[in-house]
Amino acid sequence: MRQKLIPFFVLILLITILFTYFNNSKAQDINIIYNNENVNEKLDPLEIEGEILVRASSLAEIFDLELRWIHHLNTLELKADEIEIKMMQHSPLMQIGNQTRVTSTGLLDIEGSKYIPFQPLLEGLGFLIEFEVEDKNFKINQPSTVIQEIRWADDKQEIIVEMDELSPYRIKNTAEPEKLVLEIEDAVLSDEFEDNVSDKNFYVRFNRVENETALQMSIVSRYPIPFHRDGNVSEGEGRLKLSFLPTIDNIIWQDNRLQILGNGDLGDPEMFYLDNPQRLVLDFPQVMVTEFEKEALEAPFIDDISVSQFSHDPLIMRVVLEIEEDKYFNRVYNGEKDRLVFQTVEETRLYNLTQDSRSIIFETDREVAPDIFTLQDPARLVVDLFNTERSKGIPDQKAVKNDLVKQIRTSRFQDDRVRIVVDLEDITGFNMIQSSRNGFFQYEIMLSNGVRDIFIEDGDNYTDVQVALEGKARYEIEEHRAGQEIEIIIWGLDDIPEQTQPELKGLVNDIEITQLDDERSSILLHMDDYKDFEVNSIEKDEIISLSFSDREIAAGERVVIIDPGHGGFDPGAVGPSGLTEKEVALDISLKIYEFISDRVDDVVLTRTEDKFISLRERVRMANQKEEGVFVSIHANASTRSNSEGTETFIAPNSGTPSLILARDIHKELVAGIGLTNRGIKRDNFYVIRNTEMPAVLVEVAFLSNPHEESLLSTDRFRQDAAEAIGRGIIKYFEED
Amino acid sequence: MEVNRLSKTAAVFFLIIITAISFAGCSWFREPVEQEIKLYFPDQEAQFLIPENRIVKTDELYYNVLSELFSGPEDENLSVSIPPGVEVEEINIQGGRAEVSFSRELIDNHWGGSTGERMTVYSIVNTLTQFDEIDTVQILIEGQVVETLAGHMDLTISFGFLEDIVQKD
Repeated sequence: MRQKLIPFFVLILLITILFTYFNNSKAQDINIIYNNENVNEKLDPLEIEGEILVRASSLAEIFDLELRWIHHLNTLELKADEIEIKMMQHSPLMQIGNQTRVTSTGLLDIEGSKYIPFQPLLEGLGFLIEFEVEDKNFKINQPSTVIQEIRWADDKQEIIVEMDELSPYRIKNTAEPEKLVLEIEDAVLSDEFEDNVSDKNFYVRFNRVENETALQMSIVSRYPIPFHRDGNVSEGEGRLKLSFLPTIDNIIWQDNRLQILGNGDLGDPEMFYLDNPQRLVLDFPQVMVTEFEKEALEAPFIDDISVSQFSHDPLIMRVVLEIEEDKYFNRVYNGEKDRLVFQTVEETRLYNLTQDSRSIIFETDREVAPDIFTLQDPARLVVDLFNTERSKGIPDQKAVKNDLVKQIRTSRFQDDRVRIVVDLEDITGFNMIQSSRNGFFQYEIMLSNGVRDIFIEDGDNYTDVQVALEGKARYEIEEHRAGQEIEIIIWGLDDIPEQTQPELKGLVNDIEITQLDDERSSILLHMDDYKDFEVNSIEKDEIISLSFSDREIAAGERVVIIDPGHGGFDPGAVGPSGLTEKEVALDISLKIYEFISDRVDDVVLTRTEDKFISLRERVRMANQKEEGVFVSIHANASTRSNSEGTETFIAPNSGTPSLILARDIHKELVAGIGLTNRGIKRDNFYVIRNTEMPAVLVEVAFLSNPHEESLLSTDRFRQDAAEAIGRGIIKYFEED
Repeated sequence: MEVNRLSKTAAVFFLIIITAISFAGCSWFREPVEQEIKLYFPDQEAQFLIPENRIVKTDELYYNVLSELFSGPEDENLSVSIPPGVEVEEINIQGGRAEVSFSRELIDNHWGGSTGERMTVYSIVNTLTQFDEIDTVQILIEGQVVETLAGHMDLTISFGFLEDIVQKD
């Protein structure tokens, strides 16, 4: 039994020895690389207790160090240019210059050679060691840059890192907004490094990144750091600049005004008031609270100021001014973005709110400029009086019963105004009359929907009649006596005064204005013979507009609808230098109008100004015409700046007339402006698909092509394009 | 000779087993199968669309295909067709009609132009209608039918594969 155990123990012993041996010196699989050279063989690295030791004599040779063994002290000395390193045998301490580092093994004597921990030693000498975990490579590098200083730029909106030369860097994402981490490759701090950023709000710290040669700089603040995380680092010669969001520098009282000074664009703060105690609150979006010297403010009315970071996401800085009761501030727009100015305004009082059947009357002790507007659903009239307070006699709510008004409500609104809301039976027009007596100001708001004016405009072969109202009204148009009389019936109007009777012109022979009943007024037009009439106003409108034509549009007449693409908030395509499609399209369209208006019978433009009109509305306008051709004017774009040329589109379902129109226009245009011919194409474009007439859409040239954009910007080119399109349209009519 | 044949037989048998296991493995672990598909991108002149082959996983085929389309072409001679920031919100296929809802960026970030708009619309439409189960594509924005994408094309209707816009060999 015992004999059988002996080999087992021997085996165990052998395994233990082998294991220990390999554990101590299993350093064959690591590589030490210096200047791209594997120096393993010379250094003979051993791994003991997690420390890599190398032969001291070889290390001294490779790194050009002076080596001395002081026998009586059992101490090894290594000298570089300026640094002396000492290690005593059997001591874990390593003295590097006047610093001491603790190693796990200390200096070891192995088979008569001295072995020393190489990492702390080389780092002490200023080398950077990168450890590639996968290949177990230790790469010894010389630093490529030395960081000299970190400081604020003068405006305190940038932190500047001064270094000998730029080295690759990256911003590390941290979850903490108070912390900003930047890693700079192969960097070390200068011995004379100056930290001019750390103060009571900021703290800068440098770390080595483990196993890498990057130096990690962390800036920690008491407050979230106003740094754009998506990269606001710019590079200068030997410096990195970290740009910050604006902050406020000071709040002062000067020239009888409150001034908030910042180091950049403070934006447009939202202002509102809170009660008990009276406070003015200013919320600044995208502004950050950092170090801010709040001086005692020698301001009248202002008791206290506080500044805080109200919200971090979204970023909002809040300034709260505790102010005296009844004091209000107004922003004074001075055009300076880094200096916001506020002045006090006196409080006005509202007295004597009354009404009669058609008007609302109130008085104030100071002159005010009421902001009056109407709102729908439910219909109401709103009167805002700024910096005004209600006197005791003003009720919150007041029931009224008349044809126009249901009730009147008053309230303190947004803490800087009184809002009077007049609940209406229906939206009406209004007028305000202001008067003053005994130092009081009286305002009378007349609720009415009256006729402001009736116009008759006489053209070559048409007569337009317009009834302009103070507010929107429901109306109907009736034809009597085979159309010899046209009656406009309008609901909810005041009596129409005599003087609104217009001068009779054109096809209008006579006008009779009568009140049909309590609700309805009638405007009866006696007409001369006319051929056609259309209503140009919408169902419920402020201006009721009729157009009479004294001749029908005969078959074969030349009617052109020109549709300038886009407009208003829709710029269409935008060229590299900023030219917009809406502008080009409108200008060319106006030029086409000029060119053809004398040569055809009728030209209609779907827009004549920079205004958004939906595609549906454009189609509706075109389809009102029973005859005609539709030409939509556009400028093209694609993602590539080299796309170029002219193309013309027709709808896939369109007939031969559209194709002929397209051919006539396209041929003239390509010849007239001489750009690449991209051909006539068919596609389901809204305006040409839905118009009930021959219709084309012309893409004159590419705005996304810099050369063609510059052409499109010239008056000459636009004129050439317009005349070519115009010639094409006329050619189409002539062929007919 | 005898031994040799035996080992050959064994080897073949072994191979069969390995193949069987690896095939079975696929279904066991439901690894997404991959499929080669076509993506249609505009050429340099924005005259035509040119298909580019790509291999995508079939687990969420249409999303994967559109996401590849959004990421743009590999061929430098082709262009992107979808503006940045667009997301596919929903795809519903019924009776051969795919309703595809995109985020607002498809309109807001679009570069405009009839040509630019056509390239965008047909790169989506032609790419999706390569699949037998999709005949037409209705483009929606945030789930709603819109009048147009960039002011030209009538997006109130759905579109089928457009042969004319694909470059002929």
